[in-house]
Amino acid sequence: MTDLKPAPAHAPPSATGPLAGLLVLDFGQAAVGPIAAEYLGMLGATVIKVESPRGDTVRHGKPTMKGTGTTFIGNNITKYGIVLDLKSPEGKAHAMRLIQHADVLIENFRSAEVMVRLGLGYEVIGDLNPNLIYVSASAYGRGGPLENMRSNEWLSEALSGFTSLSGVQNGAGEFSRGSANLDWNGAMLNTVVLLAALVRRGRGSGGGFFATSQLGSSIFAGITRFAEILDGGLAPVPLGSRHPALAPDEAFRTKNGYLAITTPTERSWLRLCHALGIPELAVDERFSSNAARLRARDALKEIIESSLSARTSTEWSHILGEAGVACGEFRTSASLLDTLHGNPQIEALGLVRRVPSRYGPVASQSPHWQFGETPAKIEKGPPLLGEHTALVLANLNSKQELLAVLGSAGKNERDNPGVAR
Amino acid sequence: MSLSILRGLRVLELADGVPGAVSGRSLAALGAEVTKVVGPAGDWLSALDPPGVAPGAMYRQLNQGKETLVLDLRDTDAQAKLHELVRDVDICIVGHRRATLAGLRITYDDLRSINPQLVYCHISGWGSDGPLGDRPASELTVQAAAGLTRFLGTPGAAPVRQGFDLVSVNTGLAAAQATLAALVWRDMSGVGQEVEVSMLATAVALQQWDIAAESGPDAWEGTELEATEWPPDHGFQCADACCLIDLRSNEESWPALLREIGCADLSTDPRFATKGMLELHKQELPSLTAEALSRWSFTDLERLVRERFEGTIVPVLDLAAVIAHPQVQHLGLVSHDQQLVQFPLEVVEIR
Repeated sequence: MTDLKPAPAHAPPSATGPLAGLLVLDFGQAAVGPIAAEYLGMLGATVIKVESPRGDTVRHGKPTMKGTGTTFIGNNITKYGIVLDLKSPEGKAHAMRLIQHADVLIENFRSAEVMVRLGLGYEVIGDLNPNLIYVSASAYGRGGPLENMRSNEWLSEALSGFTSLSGVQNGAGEFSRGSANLDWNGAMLNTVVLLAALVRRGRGSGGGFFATSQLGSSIFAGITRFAEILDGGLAPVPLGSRHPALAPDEAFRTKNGYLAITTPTERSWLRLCHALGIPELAVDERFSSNAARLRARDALKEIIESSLSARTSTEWSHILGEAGVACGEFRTSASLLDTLHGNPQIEALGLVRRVPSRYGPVASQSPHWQFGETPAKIEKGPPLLGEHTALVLANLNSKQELLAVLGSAGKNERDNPGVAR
Repeated sequence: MSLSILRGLRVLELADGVPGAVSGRSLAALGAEVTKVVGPAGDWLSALDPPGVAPGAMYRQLNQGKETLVLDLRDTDAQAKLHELVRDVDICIVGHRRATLAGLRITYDDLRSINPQLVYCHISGWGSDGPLGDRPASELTVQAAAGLTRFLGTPGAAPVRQGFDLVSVNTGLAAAQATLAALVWRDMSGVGQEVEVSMLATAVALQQWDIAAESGPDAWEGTELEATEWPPDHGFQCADACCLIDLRSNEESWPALLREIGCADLSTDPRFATKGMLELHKQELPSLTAEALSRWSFTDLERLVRERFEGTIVPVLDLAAVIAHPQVQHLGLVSHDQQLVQFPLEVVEIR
């Protein structure tokens, strides 16, 4: 950040992240709920993950670190962990006491009906704590024919249209074979909802019951592509690496790989022509506007690639980047960490880091925002199953007490991350 | 459809392209009053016309629910007009490149001196610092640089982009997150601040699953570690649809399902005999079952998978089918009257 003044004297003295002092309960499993809670933890909230005795399902997936699924580990950084059997009267009583102190509760059961059946539906816990912000991040929303169907990344890809648009030009749609990006997209959207509800509450209102769906967030992710069909076009099809309405905007072959080049404006198009050493392109009738270039895409690609074949992707990305043309080298390493660490920009910004944890040093994103006054941070790793159960249950008298003891537990973990007390 | 959660909140959006527009669109959908400031030449996005579609379709979709104000910020009168507006806003979202901010008099310092309570959010492609700091970026260039295309297309062949503009959309959501979090703090402390998001940091965040998987696992096994080398996954192809078949709660039934669809040989194949073996070989099934499934309609196959195996099966929907889907209609995820993708939130009860 440029030239920011130090935090003013009247800021809350304990403030680290902007949400310091808030208590968040994560009743979720797997991805869309837990990741949203993880983001609130990075923003400074105290987050308690509430698991069943068996633990979050993704604790049991592959691969593992020290026997626990890395999906669990990656999705639950910054949290404290307790185990409650919500089907037992005792577990439910503990949950109710905890909920009394909470600012936020997020769950991503298939349907909010699961919480109702547990006796923890909003009509109960909202009366218990009217300031509670409750988000049900369900699979398919409330009601309708799919209400009780299960969801995951790939079901979301199929049902949102994502798959139908991913693939080689005019070929069949493809599922993403890994990297559950729509799950993360859902978590991003849920986080916006949680924060908006917190803003509302901070301005004098109470809590509330907010319902999102994985289906809805996945469709919202496709907003630019839905624009085509909603404004009179046909259902769009896969275009390989091409943008539907912009040219050039695709992957071009270089001497040793592929380079993405995008020219959103006529100015950037002219810069590209000159940087490629083919200024005559800029006055070629066939390419005189974006619309013309879209029509003549194949011919244009051939010309650009014949020029690009003289140098490597890295060389071209320097040349085009210096010229002010948006470009990016396709990284082909099988390892994502190699890809990310091999990118000097990602390294310079420290966007990937190692977080010390009970499970060993876990590779993680850094917080994806920067704050001038209230830095977002990762201050602890993911919890062992039930690691803080006794501590939390012994300190349920007040929120302040609970936050204080968890704060010291977090400090202990920072001092000695590998060993659980 | 606009919700009332952020009623009374005022937002200025000074950004061309997708990410800034998504953040403003989200805040507007939640009830904020959003004014988009565009230059005299307009947002470059408004000039994009996918062939066969009404002009400015993407722009319309992304900027619904906002007031628009045309200001040439190179002009000092326009700057004064903007500064007047800044007095009364809560949030300012800025997507212009850092190098241009001083000339337009929209740096954080310029605006903070007018309104110390302002939350100022800067959105960039690659971040403000570092070797690529302040360089122009796009959805595809960031997808490329961050490795987001590695699970699509044929390994080693030409790259395939993600079907949706996930980096741009999520950068917009990240900007909404940062501004709202800063607003929570401002409403307690009385102090505004500058926040910053980038497409690159968002692209990294979207891959946390894969990042954690590579941390130093006990064994190199699991989808995230192996699937880059698999062939493209088109799902199962039956006579009239591509579909996804998921027997997750009942995985050991695959051999029985294979027998039912007419692949007796596969039903005794050790590659699909156990849960453990299936994890390694399930991606081979679509091509191995293609011939048998060409004799199945989706309806028949659906009945078989659902009723006999308690599995989940869905067709791969194109966008027309998504819009027409009864669940999408039930939730109102795409509005009929305005033909708009909605911000997918239902406020069930507020206090």
